[in-house]
Amino acid sequence: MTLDSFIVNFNQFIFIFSTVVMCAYLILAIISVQSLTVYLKENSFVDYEVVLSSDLAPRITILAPAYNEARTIVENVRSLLTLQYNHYEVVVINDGGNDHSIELLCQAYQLEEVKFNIDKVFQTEKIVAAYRSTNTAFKKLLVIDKKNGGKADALNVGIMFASHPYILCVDVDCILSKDALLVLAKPFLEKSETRIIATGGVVRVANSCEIKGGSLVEIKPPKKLLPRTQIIEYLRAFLLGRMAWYKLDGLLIISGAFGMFDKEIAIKAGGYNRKTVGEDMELVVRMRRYMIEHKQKYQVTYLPNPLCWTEVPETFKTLGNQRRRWTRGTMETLWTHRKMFFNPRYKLLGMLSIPYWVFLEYLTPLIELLGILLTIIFIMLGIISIKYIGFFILFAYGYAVLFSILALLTEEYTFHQYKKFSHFRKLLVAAFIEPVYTHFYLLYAAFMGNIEEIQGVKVWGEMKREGFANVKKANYSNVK
Amino acid sequence: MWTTFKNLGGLELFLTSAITLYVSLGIVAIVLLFISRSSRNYKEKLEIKYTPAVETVLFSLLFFNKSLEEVLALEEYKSNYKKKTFKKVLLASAFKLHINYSGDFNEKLNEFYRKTKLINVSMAKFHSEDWDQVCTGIRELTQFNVHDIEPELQKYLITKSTNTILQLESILGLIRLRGVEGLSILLNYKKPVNDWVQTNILHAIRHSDRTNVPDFSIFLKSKNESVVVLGLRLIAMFNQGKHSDLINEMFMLNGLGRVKNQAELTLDKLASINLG
Repeated sequence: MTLDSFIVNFNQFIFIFSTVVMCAYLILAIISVQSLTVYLKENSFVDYEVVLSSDLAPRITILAPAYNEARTIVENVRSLLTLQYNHYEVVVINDGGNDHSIELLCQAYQLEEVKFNIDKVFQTEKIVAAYRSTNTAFKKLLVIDKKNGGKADALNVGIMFASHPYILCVDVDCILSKDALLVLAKPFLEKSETRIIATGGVVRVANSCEIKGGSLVEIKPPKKLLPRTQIIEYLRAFLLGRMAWYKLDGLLIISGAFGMFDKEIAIKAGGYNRKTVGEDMELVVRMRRYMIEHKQKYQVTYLPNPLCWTEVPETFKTLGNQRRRWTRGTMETLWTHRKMFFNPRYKLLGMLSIPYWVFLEYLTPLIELLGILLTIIFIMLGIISIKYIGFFILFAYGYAVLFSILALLTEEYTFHQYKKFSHFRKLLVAAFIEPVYTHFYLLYAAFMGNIEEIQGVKVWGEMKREGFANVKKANYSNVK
Repeated sequence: MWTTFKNLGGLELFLTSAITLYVSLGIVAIVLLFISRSSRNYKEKLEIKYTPAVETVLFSLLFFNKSLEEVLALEEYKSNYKKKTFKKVLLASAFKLHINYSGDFNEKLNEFYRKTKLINVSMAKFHSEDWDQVCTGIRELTQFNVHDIEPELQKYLITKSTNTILQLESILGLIRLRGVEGLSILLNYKKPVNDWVQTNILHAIRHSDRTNVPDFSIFLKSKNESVVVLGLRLIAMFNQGKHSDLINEMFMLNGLGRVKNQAELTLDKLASINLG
């Protein structure tokens, strides 16, 4: 192949690939917006208080793994204990951190060590002790102390201790809306003829939001630009992406920060995979695969309501750590379940969802990065038209901004969380800045994630958070 | 080849068209965003503006012992009653008060609802082509005890619509109008009644007129399994322990399934109530 023909083929490939990616995102967005409209119309007649007084409401165990959360754990647990729901318990799993979380919890909730007898369905790190409160006001709370084994290991321990048929896995530092469990319960009641094995929810950005007593009091966009651009990213992903996959019955990922699972199926499928850092996605894929292979009818549902609020990285370093881990998690899940790739036995999952994740979620950043590097080389060699490059950059930038504005428009017409005009203006500006401010760094992080995976890196990486009360802490850092 | 590629006027045209389209759509989207924000703010301001007048009208009727005629003669009512947003706020406030109060207060509100022709606003919704408007109409009309719509509600439930939310609103509407007796419509109901609908029904019954409670064993004869399950739940709710033998028989005869599970739960509940 001559250099000229290589350049032509390369340009054509990049052009066709980016057009396909753009079309795919657009199709998903159209499906999402349509589904959201129907969902909101139907939901306007829902009175969630009926669930509060109902014996039919599903019994839920909230699993909250914690690692070095001492500074905020007491408040965060209090927030979980005051949710509006009657049939639930909270299991906090202290994953062998080196702070004083257990002592603080014991003091705050009058905990005392209790004997435990569990069906050890998973291999986990050693369970040191279990604690219950002597105060009946906290009878819903169970605290487990275990040796460090990572988030997946902590969640598996939590599953073994859960006494209810449904488990809601949350990050202990997330803020749940008070009616989160009421909203989550509805699909289980509504589809009582079908087995719902998992329900995912939207995760929203809580940086700079006002939080009092474990509840969200005022929603504001973050003061810093980096987390603000992540709001745009989260809105695109949750409002314009996942809703469509739910509608198509091809949802592969439920956020680790907020996802509910059928305990029995989770156990039968083998629980959380301790060998991956993408344990949230991996479990969903494995549970779905289990149901298909055992020819059982099932459903995975998704709720677009803003029920869970989390703190996103405020520095490029932390963001890079997070995104490298996400890339490794995606690679590990796709590799573990490579059998499903274009396998008609797995229907839409095999023929569309998995290929979409391979080509559009995993490969796109790599192809984009390669394209940018080669383009720079061609420009330096003077063998490519600057005019076309200019057009192409505008083409890509224009699409990125338009798609972000569409996400903001969807948020405005649906949940309308950012009430003040000044808040919304800040987000609009972020939509224009994001493609040049964070995008290239995220491409680099995805590339480095690949390198780390090839090198066999298994650590979570430091995930430093500012804390809702400006408390610095490190979660799941350097956990195996 | 590269020269050919460079000279592709089609590509340039495509890219410029796409960029123009993005810019145009972007501008339209931003304009829509601003319009949405402005109209939302305008509506909110208008609703806030009418709230004191609405409160004066309704509080005069309910708490200051003014007659309906006197209330309708109030300046706050006379100067605003033709305005659409005022009517909307008035109806919403009267509806909320009706939910929170009972007895004489509700009688006064029912009369006010008819006399002020707010009933026509609800009727227009009830006869709308949009199912969500119909649902809102059902809620309003049944809350204000408009019994004339009962036949229409039954039609919605049995034949007229396949929309599950509309059907649920029809059942709940019938319960609001007739109390527990409103459930009789389910005796010949053929569609599945899922747990969400049952949760709503049981909740509505807890807050409805519970005089003349029927014998719910009649539901156990239904060929619709979900209606049988509802019957078992109602028997437990109203502690109709006289049916224990029949339920026990059902428990023994039924294979695995929802009826057997619910029969067991109902028997347990009846036993615990009797023991208690």
